[in-house]
Amino acid sequence: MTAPPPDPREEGRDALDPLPLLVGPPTEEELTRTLLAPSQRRAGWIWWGLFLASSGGVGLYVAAIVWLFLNGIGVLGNNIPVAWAFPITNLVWWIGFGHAGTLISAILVLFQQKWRASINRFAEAMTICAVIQAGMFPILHLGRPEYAYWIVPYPSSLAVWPQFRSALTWDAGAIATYLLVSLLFWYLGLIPDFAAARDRAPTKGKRLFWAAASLGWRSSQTHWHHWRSAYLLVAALGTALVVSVESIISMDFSIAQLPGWHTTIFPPYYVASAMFGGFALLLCLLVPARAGYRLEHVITEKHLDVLNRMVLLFSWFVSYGYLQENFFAWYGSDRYEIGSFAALWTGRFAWLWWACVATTTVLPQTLWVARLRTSRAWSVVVGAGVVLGVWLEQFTHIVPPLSHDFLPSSWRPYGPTWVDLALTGGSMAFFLWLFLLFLKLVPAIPLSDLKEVRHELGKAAREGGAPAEDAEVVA
Amino acid sequence: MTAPHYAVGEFASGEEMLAAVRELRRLGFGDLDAYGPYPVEGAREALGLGTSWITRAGTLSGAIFGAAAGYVVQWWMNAIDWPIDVGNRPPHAWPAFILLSYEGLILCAAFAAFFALLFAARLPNLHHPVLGAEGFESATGSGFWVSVGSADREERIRAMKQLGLMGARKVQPVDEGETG
Repeated sequence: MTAPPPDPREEGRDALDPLPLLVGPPTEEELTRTLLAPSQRRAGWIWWGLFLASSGGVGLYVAAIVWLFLNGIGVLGNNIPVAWAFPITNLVWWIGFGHAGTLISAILVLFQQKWRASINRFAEAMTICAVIQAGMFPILHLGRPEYAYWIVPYPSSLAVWPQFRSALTWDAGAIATYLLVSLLFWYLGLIPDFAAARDRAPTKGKRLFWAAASLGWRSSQTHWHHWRSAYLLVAALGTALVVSVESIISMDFSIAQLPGWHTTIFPPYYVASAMFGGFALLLCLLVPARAGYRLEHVITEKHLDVLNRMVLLFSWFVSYGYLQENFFAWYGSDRYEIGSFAALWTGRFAWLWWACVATTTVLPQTLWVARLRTSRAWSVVVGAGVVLGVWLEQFTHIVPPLSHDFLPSSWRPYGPTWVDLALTGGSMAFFLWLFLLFLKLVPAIPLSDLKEVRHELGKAAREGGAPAEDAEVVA
Repeated sequence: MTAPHYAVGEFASGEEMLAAVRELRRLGFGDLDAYGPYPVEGAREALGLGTSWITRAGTLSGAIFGAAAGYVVQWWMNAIDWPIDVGNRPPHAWPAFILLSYEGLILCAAFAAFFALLFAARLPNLHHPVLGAEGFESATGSGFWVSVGSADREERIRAMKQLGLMGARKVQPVDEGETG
């Protein structure tokens, strides 16, 4: 292997110098070998350790769910007026993570951004695992979860139909569509890589499995031609979908009359906050994964740098959202709305709100420093902080307005129970469990995308004397 | 129609592969195809493929169907079959219906794009003769291949000779029923 690139910090190199997108550059055979290796070799002890730990968490999750189903939603901390609390917060939180995955995959392919090539499958897997978590909570917080299917419009013997003027019905359609389209997009991108796995499968059984999964893909340029067209079309659809799904989720709240909820900033603000959390979570997942699977040559410091820039950017969007909702409250002179926001800054839940501001507005500002953007440890610190901050942001937008609405006689405090906490922690364990399975079973880096990028970067480096815009291959 | 007799050959790079394809086309060989681990720039023109109309048309029809179906379902259920008064909103609440029609559009369009791709690429096809060529695994690795389908064996021999002249390695004939 070639020597690692010179560390800009040590050589005093200009921090604005482009960082390499691909280190090596590895040959195509090397790429194929190193990128397929994680899904083809046996799991190591770190994977097993994490898998067993997360399985324990999933066990706790199942126990909490069984307890909940046996005893009803009275075991949650929800009360009147705070009828929505941890479960819906977790729904919004998880679905938000899904959206950054789709953004990276879909929107960036449409904008032809090369840095997406090695991380898009991680991002898509994060989306799918997150949407599965999100989909569980609307069912868990129902009083009669066995009737959850009533929200689907099927010809029922009760001769009733769901009511499509409700944001909750929209949620069901949006989340189901999002899960299915995300799976489709992920699979579409995987077909060529399943074919590569088929061609290198060590046993006949595995070869048959990958052959079936890849549908007989021959890597023909005719295939690629149609595939590229379909992929870009589904990417465009996915982009449109992301905005609509997050807006629909936000409308669960904004179409209600509650002061603190009833504001038109919610749809774009929730989209921004979703991206924000998603980029942060992706960093938390990528940094250990690239170290564990020795993928530093394809997920380079450049990727960390760009992802951190996105975290910083979306931190500003979200902070703008905070500014706007408080401004609207003050400018609108509605005493209930002003009261609701004043209670957020100084009332019962103020400590959560200040923690939210600290982690979502203040902490990401450290990412203005280039050295910190390429630091692995700091990426995880900021990533984890933002992931927590986004949860706090959802929570403080849902519970305090409910707890402090129009009539003072209706105001009531809220506190979670162990079931709330177990469901939250359990969903995190289940996410990790699913993500570990993805890392083990599926080629985590798209081979064809990366080979294409390598080819383009190499061509640009050979043709120009000066490097082209993204020609950052380090020889 | 009898299955064509294929001749395949491997090239070292995408550019060589495309040069071979252009030359073969110029010499009058029909049924040509090129293979590589990623879409090579210029392959579309060399092979004479236009825009992928099938995927676009498929997606568009899926989109129209999804939007229309989504809207009609909501309208019929909430405005015709079982209208109920919810906060005095009109039963035919078209602004509200737009949202799920939009989701229906995206869902059906995405699946239509996928099935259009399968149709256009004639997949799934696990037993195409070319897959049986020796060393063809490199097509998903770092190799670039060209295949020529011929109606008879004489033409195939000429194709194989031509591939060899252009610098192809592992030139070999492959037939239906000989796949691995």
